[in-house]
Amino acid sequence: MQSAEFKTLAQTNKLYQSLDPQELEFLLAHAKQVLFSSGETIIQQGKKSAGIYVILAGTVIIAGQVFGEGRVSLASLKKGSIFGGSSVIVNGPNATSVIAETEVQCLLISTALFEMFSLFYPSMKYKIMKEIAENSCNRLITVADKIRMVVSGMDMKARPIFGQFVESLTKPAEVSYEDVSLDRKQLEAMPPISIFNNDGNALLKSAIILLATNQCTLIEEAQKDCSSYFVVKGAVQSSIVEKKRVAKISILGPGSLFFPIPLINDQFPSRIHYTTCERSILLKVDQKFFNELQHNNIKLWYKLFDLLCESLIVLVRFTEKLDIRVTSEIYNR
Amino acid sequence: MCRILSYLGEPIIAEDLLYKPDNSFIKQSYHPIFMSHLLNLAGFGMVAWDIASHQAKLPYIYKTTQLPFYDENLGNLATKITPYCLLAHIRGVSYTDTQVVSDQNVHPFIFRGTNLALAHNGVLFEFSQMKFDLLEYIKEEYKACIRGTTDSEWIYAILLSQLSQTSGEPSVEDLSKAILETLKIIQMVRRKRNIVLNSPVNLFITNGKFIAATRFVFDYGWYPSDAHGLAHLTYHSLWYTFGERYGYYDKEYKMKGGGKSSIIIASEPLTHDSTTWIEVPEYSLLIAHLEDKNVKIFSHDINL
Repeated sequence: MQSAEFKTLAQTNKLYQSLDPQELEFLLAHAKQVLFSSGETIIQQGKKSAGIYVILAGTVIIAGQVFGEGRVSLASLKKGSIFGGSSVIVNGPNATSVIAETEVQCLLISTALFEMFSLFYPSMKYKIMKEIAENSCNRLITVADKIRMVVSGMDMKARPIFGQFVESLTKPAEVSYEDVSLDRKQLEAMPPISIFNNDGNALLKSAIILLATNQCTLIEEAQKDCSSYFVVKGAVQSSIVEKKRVAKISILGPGSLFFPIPLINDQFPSRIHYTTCERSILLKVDQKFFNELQHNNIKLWYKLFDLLCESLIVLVRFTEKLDIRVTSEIYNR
Repeated sequence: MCRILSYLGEPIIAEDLLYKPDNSFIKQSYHPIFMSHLLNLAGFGMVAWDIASHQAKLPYIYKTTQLPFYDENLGNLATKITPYCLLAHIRGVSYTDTQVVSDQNVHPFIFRGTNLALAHNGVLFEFSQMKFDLLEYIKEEYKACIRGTTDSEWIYAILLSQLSQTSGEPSVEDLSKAILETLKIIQMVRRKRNIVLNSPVNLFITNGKFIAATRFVFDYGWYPSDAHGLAHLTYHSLWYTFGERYGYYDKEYKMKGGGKSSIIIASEPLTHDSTTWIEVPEYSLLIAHLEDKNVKIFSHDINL
């Protein structure tokens, strides 16, 4: 394909439409055009992706080794779709394989190039990350809804009424550093909070410290408040709750960040329930802080968005595993 | 911190679990992927049930403090036995001269007269403060069986004491109750002694008919102030995979799909590719048992 033709094709893509001319020029100069013949494996399940692929023409199949079923097709992606991004962001293996269904033309943003964006065009990296994050939100909601349907039809134990009552009454208490013997310097050194240190740690100035007992609800489904939390001590459980039945997704320990899905894009509903599963010390950060960061300290916002995106992708992966578990295990019965 | 491997299903050459995969169990003794800070060099132990062996209901038991990757006897044995159930453990302890490295401290523990084996990955913080409070929860016949110095053997003795019969086959429900009761006893004694720091208790229990495994930590996320570099701060990992048969297919070791007659539950996947494995969530109890040559997997959230 001639480069002018390639450029025209690339510019019809939604992601590129969001890029400014300088960014687009840089991208087209450095990203590779790659071609795959029908049936060719573009990404192998269990291997790291070479980078982020954007489909310019053709269709790919997402396929995976599914427990007890062998290899099955899970979805197909068409022109304009992005794949391979999750593997790049978490620096881990792909959860599924990607196979060309037809002849496929892709733009490949290699992992190294993507990392280079942080230095030269962080806004472009952010736009790509946002696209990947929104795709991940869509995937999360689809899988979460599927799990909710399975759980609602399962003969699974419901939360005891007393437990529900206690949970509804238990609220985290705002405390000071002294109240919980927390050393601010130690907290500043704790990843990922340490990324804010260059600016006198604006996060710690804005955040409030919470002490929560076990079984304290922090984020509920359909919640409007988009506050985010960092776990300092203790642990928090993410779950899907349906008809008072709780299906556990994962546990977040010290150093973890969690937030309601609408923080990424308020068009998405929040589907995940977060409750403490140990007595815990948390930092609560109001959405206003993130909004201000986007206006006053965009570089820091980009760094934070990287973290949000990584946490989201990990959450999606655990939710996908829960989807397998609720059908293959006899769970909480 | 240690590594544990368990298997239940179609008879399998032990070598395919212990040596062959690219993250094989023996390799995990010196190069574990999912643990940092520590190597697992303080002993290897294995119990394995083989249908073709004499007294098939009882397992082979192999224990040594030799480094497993230099152990020629183990290497030879692994190419010969084809167990349908196996529990293996490699022991990792902190690098101090206060640690006791001996045969008596090598897991899995299996007291004479019982057919129930237990291996443990984790540590009870301040165990010395609480161990004698635990005595009242251990039946007389098991007190005298404790020969080593590990907290794990005490946990094993408490667990046996919660079961009404140990030579027979407890039901999934009885086993589940006994495991949860054991954890509750430990928690109660910790509270009594005001021990509130992170203590992981990943237990693997089997009698050749089932495998039960916990992924659990008491007071997760509460570390001592001088905690930096300690091995037991993370939530110890636990993974499983299931399918028709485990072996070398399409140029890699994995479970062949199409059925559910075999299961591996382990501290970490046996291959670098973990996408065909499921990570067991924290605070969970998993019990797998064979029913008409099919593995049934029960799982419960642990809320003490």
